[in-house]
Amino acid sequence: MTTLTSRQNAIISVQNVETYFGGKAVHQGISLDIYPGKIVSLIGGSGTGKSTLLREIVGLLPPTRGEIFLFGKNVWRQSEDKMIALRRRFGMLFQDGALFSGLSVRENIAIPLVEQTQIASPIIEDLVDMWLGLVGLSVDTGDKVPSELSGGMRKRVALARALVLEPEIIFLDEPTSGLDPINARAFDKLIKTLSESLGLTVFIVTHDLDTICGITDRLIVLEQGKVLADGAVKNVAKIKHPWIESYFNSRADH
Amino acid sequence: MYFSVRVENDSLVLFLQGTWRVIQLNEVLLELNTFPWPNNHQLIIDGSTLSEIDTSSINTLLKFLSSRGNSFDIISWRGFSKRQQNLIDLVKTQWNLESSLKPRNMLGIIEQLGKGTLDVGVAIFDIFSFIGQTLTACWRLLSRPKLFRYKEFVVQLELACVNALPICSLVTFLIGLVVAYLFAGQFEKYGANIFIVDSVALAMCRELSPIIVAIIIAGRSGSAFTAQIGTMKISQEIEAMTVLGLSYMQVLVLPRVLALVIALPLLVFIGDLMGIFGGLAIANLQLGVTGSTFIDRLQAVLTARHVLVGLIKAPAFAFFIALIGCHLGLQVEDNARSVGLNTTATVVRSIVAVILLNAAFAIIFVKLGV
Repeated sequence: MTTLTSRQNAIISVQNVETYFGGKAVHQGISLDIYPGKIVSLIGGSGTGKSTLLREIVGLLPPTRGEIFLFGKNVWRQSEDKMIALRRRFGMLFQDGALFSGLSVRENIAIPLVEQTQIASPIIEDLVDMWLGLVGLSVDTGDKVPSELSGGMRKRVALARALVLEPEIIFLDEPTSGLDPINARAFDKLIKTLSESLGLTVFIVTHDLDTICGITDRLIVLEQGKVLADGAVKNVAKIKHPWIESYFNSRADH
Repeated sequence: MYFSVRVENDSLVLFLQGTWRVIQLNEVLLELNTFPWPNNHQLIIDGSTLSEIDTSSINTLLKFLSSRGNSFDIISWRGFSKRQQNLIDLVKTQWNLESSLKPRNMLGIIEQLGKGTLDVGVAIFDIFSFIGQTLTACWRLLSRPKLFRYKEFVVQLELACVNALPICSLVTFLIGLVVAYLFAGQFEKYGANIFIVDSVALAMCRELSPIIVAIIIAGRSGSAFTAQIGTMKISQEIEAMTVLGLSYMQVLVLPRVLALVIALPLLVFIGDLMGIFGGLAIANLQLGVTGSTFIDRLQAVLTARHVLVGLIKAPAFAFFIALIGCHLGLQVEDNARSVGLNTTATVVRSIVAVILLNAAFAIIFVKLGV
């Protein structure tokens, strides 16, 4: 019974997920419960299935076995219409932004509003202006096309696009990869500020130790297809395990 | 109902109610717009009956109020939770910053016309400079034959020639069939059945087979060149080659150009045969011209000259198709859309080039009396 109630309170719930790619096990029974309003980071070595787990949670890739719940609803047991309604409640930032290259920045941000709501276009324009401001871009940026933007700006536009329907959860896939340290920290700060003021739950897949130490409330470590550690960053850092030790020492070595 | 209004001591109090979410903004606006707003009142916005509000809704409410002539200074806020108040402050800070919205820069029609014309000019200049680069690379290859990439060349030859055989054969056979069918009706009227051989053989060998095969290859190989090279450009493989001391002209462009220049005449020759074969079928079925009569007549009328006219054109077509394909591949910009645009452009430009060249050849051959 306790698992049932905790699952109902959890905004994201992963239950005994197993994933196999052509007989090769990626996940061997992963269970996680994530509660609203926290910034959660998922780390693990390359090939431990972090991004795969993320894709399973957002409904892009079905797990071989196990259940995934978002807002208490089973992601892989929803009808098409219900899933669309569910998708409105979370946003996702892809690794390189995944902006639509044929559209301007302004159109990219407006897309969810145009497609999912009946709001009149002048109001949408106002909202796009607001989001450009909230993610720290100037209004002029709106008229550029994605190929004219730097990596950091692209991620900011992608963040605005992911947030424009005011989701309750935002998933970030390697948000700081490809950014210089200054831009990466600025992006971390932006995520922290926005998540606090908008009351967002943030789920980050990352390698970036600074993101983890800087803004993460809870850290989950995947290793060999299982959850190796789960808890506050300072507690996880104390765990005696070769991978965790070498991970947290990777910066101290320099 | 998303709000209600009451007058308290000379000021207007706007009670927000229920859930204000971006998804329902349209209904909220409808309600705001239909409400008869009294003027010149101190405005108080009360959030005590509000269950939820998001940034977009706050922004829209602010825009609406200011469009009704309420400046922020005379609006006071009360009864909001701390989180909601934070959101309001967040939106207000953004709002003050961007009040200097510039008008959008739209291209006028004349500007677009000028830009379009310049683009065509640039495209023509670019293709000629690329021809120059290719010929320079060829010259370098002649002086240093070791640079030649046999493997790539053979792969491209297989893709462009061997793999294209079925489709080219089928299409030219059907064209021969249709042309013969068209002529058969006419010749039958005059009892000049045997002339079906002249017309089909000459039409296929001189004009139809080269043009049809060139168009198929433009769509098949030219577009493939653009897509392959364009994708390599996006993943920085072209730059990697240059840094590793490899010339993309030698590695990518020349093998493709040479493969196509060799492949197209071969395919045109097969196309000649298939077209004549199609003509033979119709002559036999429709006009009662037997196979041996057809071949006898063919030997008499189809001199080597006519076949060569077609075959000479083919390498020229191939050269331009390959050049346009490679060039537009190298011009792909750093986005996914660009690959699609350039691939389409390759097919269109190649077909236009083939038809222009064919017209030029027609004039030359007439002047030469061939």
